[in-house]
Amino acid sequence: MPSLKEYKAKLASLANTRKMTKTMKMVAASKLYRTMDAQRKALHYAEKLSEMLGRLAASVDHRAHPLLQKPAETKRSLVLVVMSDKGMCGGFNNNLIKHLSRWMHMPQQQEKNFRFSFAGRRGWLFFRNRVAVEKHYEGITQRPGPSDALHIGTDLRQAFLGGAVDEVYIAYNHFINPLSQRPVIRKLLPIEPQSIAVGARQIQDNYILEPKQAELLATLLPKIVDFEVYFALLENAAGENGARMTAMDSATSNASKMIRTYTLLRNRARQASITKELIEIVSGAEALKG
Amino acid sequence: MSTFAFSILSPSGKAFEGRTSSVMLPGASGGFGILSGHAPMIAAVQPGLATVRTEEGERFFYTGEGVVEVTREAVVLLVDESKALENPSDSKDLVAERTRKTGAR
Repeated sequence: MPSLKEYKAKLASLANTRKMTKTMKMVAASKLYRTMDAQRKALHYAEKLSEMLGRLAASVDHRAHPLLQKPAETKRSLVLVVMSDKGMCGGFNNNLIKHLSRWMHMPQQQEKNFRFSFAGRRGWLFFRNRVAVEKHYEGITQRPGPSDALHIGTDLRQAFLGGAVDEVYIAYNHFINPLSQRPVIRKLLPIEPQSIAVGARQIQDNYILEPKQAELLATLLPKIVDFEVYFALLENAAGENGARMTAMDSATSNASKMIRTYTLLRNRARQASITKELIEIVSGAEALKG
Repeated sequence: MSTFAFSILSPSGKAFEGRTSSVMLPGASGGFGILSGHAPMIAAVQPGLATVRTEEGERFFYTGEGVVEVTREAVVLLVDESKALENPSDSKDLVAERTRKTGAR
């Protein structure tokens, strides 16, 4: 049986652990709210963007744009993997890794040649020695901004338009609520024509258009790609913090449980030592009486 | 002086929303200004400096690429990034940074 002193040390370290996990949980919660706020604002922009696109697409043939062109054969795919930079968030990253590995080995993917870009250290650390790495964007998944998405989006578009790859996918965790996230893999490029909701409301004749309608549309189409990337980054950040919150909550309650158990054990050890000392005193006195 | 409703909308939220008497925007084919009562228009804007004149004075914003829509009711600038600036000359650095990130590679 461990000594009283060992129990005390163990209890002190458990109390420290609990304090840490509790703090991490609270930090994750506040980051989660900030990210959810950013998501709400982003959706507002998306609404306006798709409305504008729909109106411009209504009277111009948008199918001709290079970002919508399906290559003759799809042999080379680029996948952008969005994951967190840090661990300590339960199965958040592992779920996506598993999902992605399964997806890559599905029969319809056998013929394809995959390359990967990473946003977030965790995915990169896992895959760097397993697959062909195109690029690793560091330090953006904690607080993603529109300019980060622009940077990544431009790289992806250039790879597609330059003919280096035939299609581009994005893999990330869809944020359902703080308790659950679902890994998803979506095609980013070429843009599916039906994803542009052609608006019923056309642009009236008296509008001044500068430059021409087709060129305006060409300015806005890449914005969809950038926005998808931005939103995936936000979903990932929200999911990461949600998952961390949940993981740290259970870690805190586990620590509390252990503290209770160890307090009992410590008290028992202390009582045992007191009893032992009493027995020694009593038996010593008995011996003196002789 | 008559005013009109103007807002700058980007993925990170509304950078500006309020009434203004005039705005100067970096158009794709040169800078242009919008005054109250402008004809309906949709125009492309390129990264640069947007100057918004309000009752409190002039305000400056760095804005990315996007479009501006002018209707009878309001003017909405839809851009992929935006940032309020203290000093209008800061926009040059931000444009340069953007070109570095997205430019010819």
